[in-house]
Formats: sequence, structure tokens, C-alpha cells
Amino acid sequence: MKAGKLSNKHTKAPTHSSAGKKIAERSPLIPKTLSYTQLEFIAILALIGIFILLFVWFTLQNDQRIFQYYIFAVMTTLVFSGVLKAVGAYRRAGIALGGSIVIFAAVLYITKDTFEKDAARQDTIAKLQSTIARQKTDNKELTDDLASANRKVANLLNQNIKIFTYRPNGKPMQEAQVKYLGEHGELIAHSESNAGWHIIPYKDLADDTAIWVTVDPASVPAERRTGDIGIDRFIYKIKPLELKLYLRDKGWR
Amino acid sequence: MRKAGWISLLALPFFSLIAGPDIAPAQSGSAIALPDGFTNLSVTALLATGPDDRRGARAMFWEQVALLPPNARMRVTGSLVKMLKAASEQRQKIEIAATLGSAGAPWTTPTLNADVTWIYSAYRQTNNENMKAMLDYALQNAAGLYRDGIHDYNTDKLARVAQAPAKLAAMADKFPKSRYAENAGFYVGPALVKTYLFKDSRGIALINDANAAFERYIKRTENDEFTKREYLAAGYFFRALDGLITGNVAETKDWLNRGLSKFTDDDKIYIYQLFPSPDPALVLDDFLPAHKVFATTLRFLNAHPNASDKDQTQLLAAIRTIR
Repeated sequence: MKAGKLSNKHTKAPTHSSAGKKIAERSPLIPKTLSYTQLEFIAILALIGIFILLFVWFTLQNDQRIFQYYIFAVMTTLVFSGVLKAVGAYRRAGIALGGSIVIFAAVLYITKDTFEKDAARQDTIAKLQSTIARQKTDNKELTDDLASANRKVANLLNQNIKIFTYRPNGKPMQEAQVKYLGEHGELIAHSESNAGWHIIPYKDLADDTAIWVTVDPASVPAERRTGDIGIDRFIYKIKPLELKLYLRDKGWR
Repeated sequence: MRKAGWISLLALPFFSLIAGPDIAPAQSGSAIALPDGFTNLSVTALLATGPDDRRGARAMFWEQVALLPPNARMRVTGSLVKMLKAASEQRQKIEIAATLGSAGAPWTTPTLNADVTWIYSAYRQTNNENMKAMLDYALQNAAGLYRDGIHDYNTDKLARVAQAPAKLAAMADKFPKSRYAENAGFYVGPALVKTYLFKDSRGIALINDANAAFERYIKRTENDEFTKREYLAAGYFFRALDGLITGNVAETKDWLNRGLSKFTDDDKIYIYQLFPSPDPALVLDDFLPAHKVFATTLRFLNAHPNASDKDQTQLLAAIRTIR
């Protein structure tokens, strides 16, 4: 509003207006003296408005900081020039142009370090944010992997153990009996003797369990020994958890 | 360290029993308490022994018991059975039953008949398969029952072989739902045949007894009196072979034909020897397809109408071709 009053006062001064006409007559491109008409005032305000909009727009665009900086410098130059013009410091176009260049250069010079530091800081922040984001992603992947691994381990550990008892020729050894130590003492694995497999449920196992294979004395002919049996070979599978024992004893085929 | 500690703990009750001042006559009041203390401590030590050493610890317990005088031995076992009856925890019951079942020699107590009857009753009542198996395991190892009879059967001494049939019959008759009853029922026949072939003074009457035992076993098995029928085909086969001992080949053929029509090759017959003999050359020791065994033996008898148990080498050679 103050600038408006000043501009009105200047536009009404006949000397300024007639001096401007004289300069215009001498140089049609650059007038020697400047008058501050209402139109000029509105134009400057409009330019400031445009530059403010540009400044805001570039500010919102995080990656356009250099343009944002130049817009800021131009806008500052414009404001200073407008003020200087309003207070009558600029009486001639050459001074106004030169003054504007000086102001623009001064603004650049004064704010350059700050801008560069800020730019560097912004870059650092951006890099850090990018690193944090990447690490968050990595962490999530790691957490997912860990959870998946935990599930796999739990599934592995929680498996029932299936033990196959075969003769060396691969036929089921029906006399074999699988025993183990569970929470409730010595237990006999549930078995399907014709198929030669025995199941030990995970939930029944003691922490320090032991599993052993014996000959079921009720299933072995009286003439045969019912002592310990030897392992001819074995196959151990993790998934599903299976132990295939190929067993032999003296006299067994 | 833990293993050694608990295993050595097993020795403590033993030493306290044999070296303590209370190793008094069995009749005294203080002596009655001793086996209970011994077994209590032993069972506690057994339960605390890790799985790796549990079986060894049981063997050690029985080795210690074996060093005691017979009376003390029986009282300790009696105390163990008493503890089995009183145990409230399943793991304790199972451990005691497993310990009784793993005794190197058949166990006995001052009240054996009542004890084995109680174990069989508990075996019938429980629905827990493990408990069932362990109680059955303890039962078959009692003196005068299955394992005792099999040990006698497997010796080469007539006096002991002659005791086997009664022990095996006791197991089959008193405890028919035990998993060992069918085995026992079957082996009564071979034990009588072995007694005869070992020249028992009762002579050929033993073969008649063996025939009756085989037939009774077959009938009971076919009536599902036992829990399994693993020896049924063998029952027919060895009943048939008895005819060769008495010179009744027609009877042998009759039983072989019955077996031939009843069994397939999915059924197996375990043949250790055709007739008990100390000759290792006559040992077959194999499971063979039942139908082929009946058919081969019949073919052999058709080719040798006057065959007897003296011709077992040739018959065995024919049966070996089945393999």
C-alpha cells in the first residue's frame, strides 16, 4: 500500500513524465529516466507474484533447487529494485539496469555459500533418506527371510520322525521294534510292521531323547537271538524327516 | 559327569543293602523295609539316568540284584512289583515294567502268581499302547512263563527242555491276550517234539501230546483266542511233520493238504530245523512261502512214500530249493 501511494505520487509528478518523454525521444530503446506509473507498479507486483508462484512451485519440486535459487535471487533483485525505484534511487534506466545487475550479483554472491551448503545438506539428507529407505527395505526382507527360516526350522523340528526298518535286501524287517525315551518314559514307536515303518511323534520326544532299535521278542522265532541288531546301512532324509535303517543280525538274511 | 553320577548312584542302594548293619534275616521287620528302600532308590536313579545309559543302568541294576542271596533277590523283585502296583506316574510305571522285562534271568517274587495276575489285569485294562507293551514285556519275563520257557526250549539239556512245554502252556493258557501267548501256544508242540527227540523217558507219548498241543494251538488261533496268528501256517506244517516221526505218512499228507488249501505264498513259515537236531547242517533258519512249503513237502512224500524223520536231510534239500 505504501508503495502504491508512492507510485501514485510519482505518476502525478509532471516533471518526471516530461523528463521521461525527453529521454524516450533521445533513445527509443532505453529511456534515460523512469516514471513509476500505476501500470508499472502492477506489472512489478505481477512479476513478483509470478516469481513467488515459481518459487513456491520449484520449492514443491524437491529436485529443482537450482531454479528455485535463481528465482529467489531474481525475486529478491526485483523487490530491492522496486524499493529503490520507489524511494527514487533509480532515476535513470541505466542505473536501474546496472543496479539490478549489481543487486542480482550481490544476492548471488552473498547467498551462494548458503545455497551450496544447503544444497549439500539437502543432498546428504536425500542420500541418508535413501539409505534409510533402502535399509528399511533390506531389514524387511531380512525379517521376512528370518521369519521364513524360523518357520522352516520349526517345521523341520516339529516333524514326526519316521523310521524304516528294512533287511539289507530292502524287505521290511517285521521283528524290529523302535523305542525311544519320551516325556513319559520309555515308549515304543507306533509301527506298521508289514511296511516296516515306525513313527515317533515330535510332541512325545523328551529334550534329551534317545532312539534305539531292538528286536520285538514277541515277533521273533524262539530259535533266533533277540539281542541287539546291527546297521548294515542307513539313509537319512531331512524333508520329510525319515531315517531308513537297513539292519542285520547274525543268521538274518 | 551327569551320567557317571547317576549310574554310580545305582550302586549306592546296593552297597547299603549288602554292607549295612540291617542286612538282617528276611523275617525281621527292619529287613522288610530294606528292599523297598533299595528299589525306591534304584528306580529313582534309573529314572534320572539319561537315555543313552538307561538300558545299561537297568542291566547294572539286575547285575547288582544277581549278586544278592536268592531270598534277598526275590524280595527286591517283590518290592519292585509292589512299587509298580503303587506307582502313580506313568513314566515310573513304564520304567519299572521295562526293568522287569529286561531282567537277564526270569524274575520271581514271593507272591509270583498274584503278581503276574495283577500285571496281566493291568495290561488288559490300560488303553495306553506303550504301557500295554511294557506290562506285557514284564509279564513274559516272569519265571515260569514265555521267556523262561523259550530259554529252556533253546538249550540242549533234556532236563531243561522237558520243562519248556509246561511254562509255554502256562503263558498261552493263563494270559491268552498277551502278544506272547500265540508264540507260546505254538512252541508247546515243538518243545514236546524236542523233548521226545532228546530221548525223554516218556517216549512216543510225547508226540501224541505234541499233536494235541499243535491241534489245540490251531483251534485256538482259528477261534481268535490270541491277538495274532503269525505261526498258524507253521502249526499246520509241524503238525504234519509229526506224522513222519510216528511213521504215519497218510496223516502227514492230510495235514499238508489242509495247509495247501488254506495258505498262500503270502503266508510265511519259519523253519529253523525240520526236526530238532544238534547237527548245524540241518539248520535252515528262514521264512519261506507257506504254499510252496506244503506243495514241496507233498511232492517229496509222493516220491518217498516211506519217508520218516530220518530222511530230513533229503526233505530239507527239497525245501531249500524254494528259496
